[in-house]
Amino acid sequence: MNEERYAYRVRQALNHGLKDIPSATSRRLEAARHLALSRQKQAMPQMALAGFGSPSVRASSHVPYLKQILAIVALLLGMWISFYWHSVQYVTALEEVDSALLTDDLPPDAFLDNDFFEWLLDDSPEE
Amino acid sequence: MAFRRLAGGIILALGLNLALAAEPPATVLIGTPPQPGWSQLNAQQKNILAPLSKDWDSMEHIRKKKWLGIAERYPSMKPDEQQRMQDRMREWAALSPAERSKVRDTYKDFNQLPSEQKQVVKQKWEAYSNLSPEERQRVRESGRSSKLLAPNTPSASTAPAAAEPNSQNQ
Repeated sequence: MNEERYAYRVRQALNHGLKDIPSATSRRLEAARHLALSRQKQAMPQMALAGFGSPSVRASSHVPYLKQILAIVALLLGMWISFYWHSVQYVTALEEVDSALLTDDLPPDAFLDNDFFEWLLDDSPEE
Repeated sequence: MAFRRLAGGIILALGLNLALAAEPPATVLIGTPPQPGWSQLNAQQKNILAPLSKDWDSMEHIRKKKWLGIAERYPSMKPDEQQRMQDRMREWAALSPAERSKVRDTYKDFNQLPSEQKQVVKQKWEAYSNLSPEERQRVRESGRSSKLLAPNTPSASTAPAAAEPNSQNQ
C-alpha cells in the first residue's frame, strides 16, 4: 500500500512539475526525443542485415518486398525440385515395369484377359 | 502361397483399376519437364521408337520420358527381347491408361511367383491362346486350367470327366 501511495505522489509531483518547465527546455526535450527515436529506427535494419555482412544487401531496403519475393521464389524452386525428383522416381519405376513386361515371353494380352486369370485362380487352392 | 498373393493382387487390381484409372500424381505431372518432339529425336531413338512415331507428338511428357528411358535400355536387351519390344510397342501404347495400369499391377504380382509356377502359367497361356474364343469359353467352363497341359488339350477339354485325373497329376 505504501509503495502505491509513494508512486502516486511521485506521479503527481512530476505532473505538477510539467507546468513549470520552460518552453525552451520542453523544445530541447522534444528534439532529444526525436533524435533518440530516429537513431533507434536506423539501428533495427542494421542489426537485421548484420548477418549478411554485405553492403549490397542494403539494396533490399530500396526494393520493397525483395526479401519476401526471394523467399517465395526459393520456396517455389524447392517445391519444383521435389516434384522433379518425384517424377524421376515415378518414370523410372514405369520404365522398369514396362520394359520387363514388354520383353517377357508371356505377352501383355495374357494379363488383360480377366477370364484366363480368374480361371487360373479358381485352380489355385488345388495347387 | 505365392499364388494366393497373385490372387489377392489380381482381385485388388480388378477392383481398383477402374476407380483409380492409373492417373499419375499431380506432383509428377508438374515435375516432369517437356520432352523433345519426334523431329528432335536422334536417329537411334527414332529407329527404336519407330512404332510410336505417329502418336509421339500427342503423348504426355511422362510417357515420352518413359519411352526415351526404354530406348536407352534397348541396346542392352537380348535380340529376342528387342523383337518382342518392337512387336508389342504400338499395341501397348494404344491401350487405355487403366488397362496399362491393370496389366502392370498383375504383372508385378505375377513376377513374385516362383519361376516354376511362372513357367506353368506360361505353358497354360500358350495352350489357351491357341484356342478360338468359343473353345476358350468351353474349356474354362468344363474344368480346371491344369488340363490345358494335358497332351491332347483341345479334345480333352470337351470331356470334363477325363480332365479330372489329369488335374490331380499336376
